Amino acid sequence: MSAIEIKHLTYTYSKKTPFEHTALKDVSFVVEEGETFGIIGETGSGKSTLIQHLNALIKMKNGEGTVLGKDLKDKKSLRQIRFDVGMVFQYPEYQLFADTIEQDVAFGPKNMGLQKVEIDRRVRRAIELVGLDFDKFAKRSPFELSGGEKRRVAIAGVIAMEPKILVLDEPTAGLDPQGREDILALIKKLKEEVCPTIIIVTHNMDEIAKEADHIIALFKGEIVYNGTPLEVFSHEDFKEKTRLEYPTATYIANEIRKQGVDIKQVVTPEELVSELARIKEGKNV
Amino acid sequence: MSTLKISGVSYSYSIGDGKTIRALKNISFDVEQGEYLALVGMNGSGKSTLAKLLNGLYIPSKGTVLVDGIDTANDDTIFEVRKKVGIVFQNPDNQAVATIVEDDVAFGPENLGIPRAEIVERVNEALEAVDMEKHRERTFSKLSGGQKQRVAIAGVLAMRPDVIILDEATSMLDPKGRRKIMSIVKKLNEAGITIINITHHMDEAAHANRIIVLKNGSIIADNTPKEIFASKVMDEAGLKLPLPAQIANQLNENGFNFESAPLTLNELMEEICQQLK
Repeated sequence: MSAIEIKHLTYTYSKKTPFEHTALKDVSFVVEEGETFGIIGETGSGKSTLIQHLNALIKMKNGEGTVLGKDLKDKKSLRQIRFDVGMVFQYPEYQLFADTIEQDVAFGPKNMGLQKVEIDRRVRRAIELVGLDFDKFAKRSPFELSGGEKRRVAIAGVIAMEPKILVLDEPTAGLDPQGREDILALIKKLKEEVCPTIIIVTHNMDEIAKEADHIIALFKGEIVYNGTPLEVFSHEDFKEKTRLEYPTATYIANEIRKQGVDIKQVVTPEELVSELARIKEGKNV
Repeated sequence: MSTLKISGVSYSYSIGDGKTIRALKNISFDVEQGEYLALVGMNGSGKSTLAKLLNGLYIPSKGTVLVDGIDTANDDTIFEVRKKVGIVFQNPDNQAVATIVEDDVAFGPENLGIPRAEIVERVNEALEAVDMEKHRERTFSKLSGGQKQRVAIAGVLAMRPDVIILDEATSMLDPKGRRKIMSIVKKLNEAGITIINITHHMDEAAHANRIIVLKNGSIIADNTPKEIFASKVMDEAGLKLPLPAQIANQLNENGFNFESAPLTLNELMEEICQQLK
């Protein structure tokens, strides 16, 4: 079953003013349940406008869309859609506000009108899921934490609403290499234990090549590619059409191929290494 | 011309309940005019604390920081220090003081009481150096993150500093914005300005002439990128090698033979092609 279906979505900011700007043009795609879905595109390509449609933070004006079968244009389903689609925005740690970590994480479930027992259960589970010891951290101020920990607390706040689809906008931006790996591992864990469908918006081609089952690439509000990472990054005009870079491994393979080496298309360093090992082995025989 | 002399510097800060954390422990090193230095280390290793000590935003708990012979602990001469050493911080939105780009760049020299004609000259020069002269009359808040950081660098340049410190200045930028900043920084360094780049991106650190690796507030290595990436230091510091060096290491386990770690993708690719001949 599809988790999200978007058909012919067009969105224009400041319509009928001198600042009119079409951010999305006739965008259509399907996210299947259980997929890790990547949205890539340069700054200003429409990524943020698009994801804000996915939980109706921006109301759909032109186009059609459903989330887990519910109509994005049906006012009565919007509340449920907002609970079903969890949004982790860029630098979510800037949105922390409460006195204690427990209160911060409880904010979402409280707004859902849940019973106290259920809220407490969810808060504890969410904090533990993001890898923080509940008894140690619950009563502490979120502002005493390190950058990576703050981001975890912010993600816990979304997870506590137990969404079925999780949308993350640049989840690893600004973290050190270890922090980036930790967040990617956390996303995998959340996918297994909470929300099977994950949507990641990113500039980082190396990361998305590794993590995503499916990618759409946006340029000036239009989808220019839609396919698996291997399909998308195999396009020879990928750079011109998206103004993005290839994943490092793909770039290396492309350059080596230009030197006359018969190397298959790759998107991750692991694939590159095994492909090169195969070629080297062949030469040694 | 400024030489930075950091001698026996420790820095502690209080975290309440009478507890303190020692962010830096007995650090010593010198930086000569014109060097391009990268400071690397995990979150919490003391990198950013060190940056703030270098232009007197923090004063050492122990030891001294001398900028061109001036002690940063001396209140009377602190503005001399700040003129010589400028910092560009991580978040481009937190650094603007004026609404319009050129006013923002002029803010520093205006505070120095410089005559108007010279301010105009400095602003022109600084905006040109960061390739932002076209945008001088635009509203700061409407710029992209990368453009904002270029304005922040121009603001520092208008002070005609000897040293520019980048404190994770590219970490919030997209890859294109990052590359642009790195090429501007390289040019500034070639023009003689000392660069100290505090970064999580090891491919950026690979561009420096020298890398200092921090772990738990101490320096555990101070060497050229080639030497650092060939040693076990990165592992010890909890850091990852730049991708070209990582790939070379994996290839070494698969029948290839890289004698030293390639610093750039070009070096890596040339060597791969060579070894496949």
